[in-house]
Order: sequence, then structure tokens, then C-alpha cells
Amino acid sequence: MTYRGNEPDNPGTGRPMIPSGHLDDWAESIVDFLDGTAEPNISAAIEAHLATCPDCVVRLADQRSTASYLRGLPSVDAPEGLEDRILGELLFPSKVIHLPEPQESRWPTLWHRRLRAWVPAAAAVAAVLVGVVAFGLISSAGGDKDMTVSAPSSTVAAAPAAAMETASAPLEDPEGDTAFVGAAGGIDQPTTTAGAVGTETTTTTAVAVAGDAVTDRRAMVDALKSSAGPLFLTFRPTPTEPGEEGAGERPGPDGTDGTDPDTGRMITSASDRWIEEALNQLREFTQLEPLPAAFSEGDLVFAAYLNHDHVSAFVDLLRSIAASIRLDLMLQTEPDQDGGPSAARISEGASEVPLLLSRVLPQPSVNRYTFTTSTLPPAERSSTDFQLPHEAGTHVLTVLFIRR
Amino acid sequence: MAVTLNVRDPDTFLVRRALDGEGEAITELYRRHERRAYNLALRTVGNPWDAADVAQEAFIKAFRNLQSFKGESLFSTWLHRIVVNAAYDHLRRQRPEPMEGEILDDICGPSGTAQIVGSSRGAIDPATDGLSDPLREALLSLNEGFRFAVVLCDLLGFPYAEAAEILGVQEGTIKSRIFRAREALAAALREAGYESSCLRNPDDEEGVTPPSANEDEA
Repeated sequence: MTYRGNEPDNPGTGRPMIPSGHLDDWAESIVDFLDGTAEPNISAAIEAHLATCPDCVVRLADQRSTASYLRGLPSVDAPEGLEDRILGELLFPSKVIHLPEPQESRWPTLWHRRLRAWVPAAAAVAAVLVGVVAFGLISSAGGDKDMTVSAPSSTVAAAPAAAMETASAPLEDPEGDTAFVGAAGGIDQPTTTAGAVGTETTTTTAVAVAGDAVTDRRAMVDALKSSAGPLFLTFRPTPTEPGEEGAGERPGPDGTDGTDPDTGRMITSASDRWIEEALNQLREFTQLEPLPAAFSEGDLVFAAYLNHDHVSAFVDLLRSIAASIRLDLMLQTEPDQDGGPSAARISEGASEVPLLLSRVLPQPSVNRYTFTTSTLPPAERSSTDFQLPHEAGTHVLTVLFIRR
Repeated sequence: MAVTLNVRDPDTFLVRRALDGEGEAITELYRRHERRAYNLALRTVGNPWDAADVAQEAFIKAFRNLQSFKGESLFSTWLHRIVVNAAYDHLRRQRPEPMEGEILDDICGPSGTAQIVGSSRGAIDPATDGLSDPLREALLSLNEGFRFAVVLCDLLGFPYAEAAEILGVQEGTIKSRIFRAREALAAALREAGYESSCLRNPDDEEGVTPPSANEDEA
């Protein structure tokens, strides 16, 4: 396929059929002339013309300065996380759901349309997530995690399906607000959209993804951006096959579960090297340290206020860390069974939670952004108008568990 | 092995390893070309989000169809042709009507600059991630054929021969389009308040028009 520039002139040479007597007669040769690569006789002809035509002198100057301007423009960085998304899909195609690819050539368009279908649905999902959190459903009690996925599934649709299940829990709660019915009703929207596009997909129960957990990057970013939190992220080692490379670094059945008496934190043994690595990377790239015993109740857990504008960068950073140590990262709206006490402590002590600030690293660097932390000034905290960052709507209270 | 080793192609060995399924080769091949491919998408479709989608679509299509690359061109040429196709498809999808380039004629008169053939996209996207807005709008005001040519060569530094191969036209056509694109861009940029220092023509009464839509600038 050729891309037409809609020239009315000779398609071969680009020269006008009717000579104008000006620069246009030379068209492509002007480009060579400016590059200094034009044939000597053509250069001479152009120069002869310029000597008598001030208009063309100006036009040539425009050419030269525009070319110089354009050539001098630096190229732009590819967005944060694009590489992870693309390489992730190329190297580790989604394991959860397998889509039969009807025709190879339609795949990119289908996928693109699915992403597009998903985007408006994200608002409905976020509304439910916010609703769930706002009504204080932090306890995991009553969460039935074995619900089957009835919607047509794809990696993308798993999230609205998951949100449906999250919304179902409050519906079963006799004290649940009837407003949830409306919110859950809105969730039908993404399923229908995804269904309309993905009729050729097979429905497979999502085995690797828990009933209410989100592992899709876009869904994670949307959820964090539109919520005040608390939202709960978990790092967990990717289950490995026996004999698979790196299996030896995973905590095996002999991993100690001792607790450090000082911090109440779990002691990391030799087989838990990956935990040390995760801690190191988190410390290096975010300056975050695990919460002290008073908050953590024995968990390895971090908490921070994350600015909505930095959500993508933070999610990509976590995914990058996860990829480098072979961890899975998931997002949930409530802590898992073990995390309930920590979550409660964190909510109680929310004014002690640090703020994450982002900082752009100079080139070249693998990670474009890094984060530093700052604590909320104590003076502010005692003020009566003081709003916690997530209450102010600018941040999301983010909790990160590291689990074996 | 379907691909022949091309000694003139710096990517040739990586391509062969990538075809063998070697993850590191795929990664390295991707990283070598990500920036240029993304910038190609960005400057032709006009905004970072669509550009990311286009780039993603193109890379995945390219790597999933790597076996169809026969080594007849440079890998870079082949890859960027896929990016151009994806960008072009994207632009096509956005147009409700046939491309104006097919309806209007482009007139280049002796007295002045080429007439800019407007695109049907009138809406300005306010958030452009800090890119130079006047340039972005100026590029988007170009007919696609001109836009791709000037972006490939002047912005991304592709040699004319390679750009011609990417777009499937002759080298002369590429240069001719670049010539006209530059003129159109110069006019558009001037209108947006950019001055070419060589334009200080005492006979020019226009002066500098204040930048109009620059509250979009991040």
C-alpha cells in the first residue's frame, strides 16, 4: 500500500507538470540542495534562480530553518510501562485464560477493541470498589471466594467479573445498603460490552486469579486512580514447576516461619532470599520500609499514600520488581484473612502512614520514576481541618503485603 | 530457517535468536526499536495514549509474525512499516468521512506556500504530555502522506531510501513530500507564533500572532 500525498504532479519525480519557474520545479532536488547533495548543474540552476527571486529566497530559508528545527527536536520517552506491557504479553502470554485466536491477523484489532471496551467499564468497576471500601467492608468475613465466573472471560473481562463478585458480597449482607443494587447493576455493562466483542472466547474459570483479586495492569491502575483506598496489593512468589529455573530460590517447605521478637516481623531464611531482594528493591526505588510491629501484627507489610497522578508509575514499578524476582502482584479491595488485623491497625493509625512522592530519574535508567517518602507533618495532623491525603481525594491509601 | 542472515542488518542475529524463541533476543530487539517506533506513532497520530496503543499493537503483531520477515529489507524497515500501517489504520478509524486528501487538491502556487490540506480532526486534545503543541497541531494539519514522510525523515532521522521503502513509494516522492511538508509546517508554526529567524522580512506586515491555543501546553 502506498501512502498518497495527493500530489497532482508527476508521481514519479514529484515535479509539477507545469513548471512554475520557482522552487517547486525542483521540489525533491531542493531537499538535496539543502543537504548539499544535489547534482552540480541542478545546484547551479537553483542558485541562479535564487539570485533573482527574493520570494524563493524566503521560501528556501523557511525550508532550511524548519528542517533544522525538526531535526533538532529530541525524541520523546516511551511511556512508563509500555515495555512491560508489550514484553509481558510477548514473553509471558496470559496464563489464566486462553483465547482461541480465530485469525492471526485479527488479533491486534480484537485486543485493541477489548481494551477500548474495557475503559468505560472501568468507571463502573471503580465506583463499586469505592463503594465497597467506603462502606467499611474491610473484614474478609463473609467473602465467598469460590464464585464461578459466569461472564465471558478474557484477561480483561476477568476484572469486571471480579468486580461483580465483590459487589455480590454486600448484596448478601442483610444490612447492606440498597444503593449497591444500582452499582452492581451497572456492572452488567462491561460484561455485555466484552461479550459483544468476545463471543468467540471460551469461558474458563479463572484459577490463578482469586475471586476478588485484580492482576491486570490497566484494571489495577484504574482502581487505584479512582479510589481513596485502602486498597491492598500483595506480592506472592509465582508458583514454579519442579525443575524450573529459579525454583531453588523460592521458599520451600523448609522455609522458616520464625518471627523476629523485636519487630514482630518474619525472619527471612536462606530460602527466603527473594524476600530480601523485594525489600531491597522497594527500599531503593521507593524508600519504603516495612511497617513496625505496632501496625504490622506480624505481617510483612508496607503502607503509603500514593498520589493519583503517580499511580501508573508506581504500578509499573511494582510490576517491574515482581517480574525481576518472579513474583505475582495482585490488587484486592479487602485484605486477605491474615491481613485483617494489620489493615485495621493501618486504618487506625492512618496519620502515621507516609506519603509517596515521585521523582523523575535522569536518563538513562531502567526506571523512569523513583519515589521518596515523607511523613505528614505532625502540626498539620492536629489541626481540626486536617484531612488525610486519601480523604482529600488526591491520594489512595495503598497497602502492600509480601506473602510467601 | 526462513530468514537469511543479512550482513548489512545490525539486527540480523537478534532476529534469528528471537525466532528460536529466545526471550533475551526478543527483549533486546524490542528495546532497540521502542523509542523510534513510539515516536513515529506519537508524531503521526498526535497523542501519547493512542500512540502507545498503536505501538503496542504494532510490536505484538510484528513479533507474533516474525516468521514472515524474510530478511529482504532491514528488520527496522519491516518493523516500522508495521507501525506505519497500525498508525494509518488508527487514523482511518478516527475519520468519519473519507480522507480529505482524496477530495481536495493540494495546490502549490508560485506565490507562496503549499496550501495546507486540513484534516477532519478539529478538536484539540488538551492534555498532550508536555509536547510542543504548535508542532503537534501543525503536524496533524498535514495530509497523512506528507506527515509520515516528514516525521520519518526530519523527525526520526530515517534515510530517505529507507523511509521510501517503509512507505512504499519512490525516493523522489519522499523528498518531494518533505519539501512540501516543511513549507506547510513553516506556515503553521509561524501562525502559532513560532518565528523563523530568516523570516524577518521588513515587507511582512503580519508580525507575530499571539499563540492562540497554547493554554493546552502542559
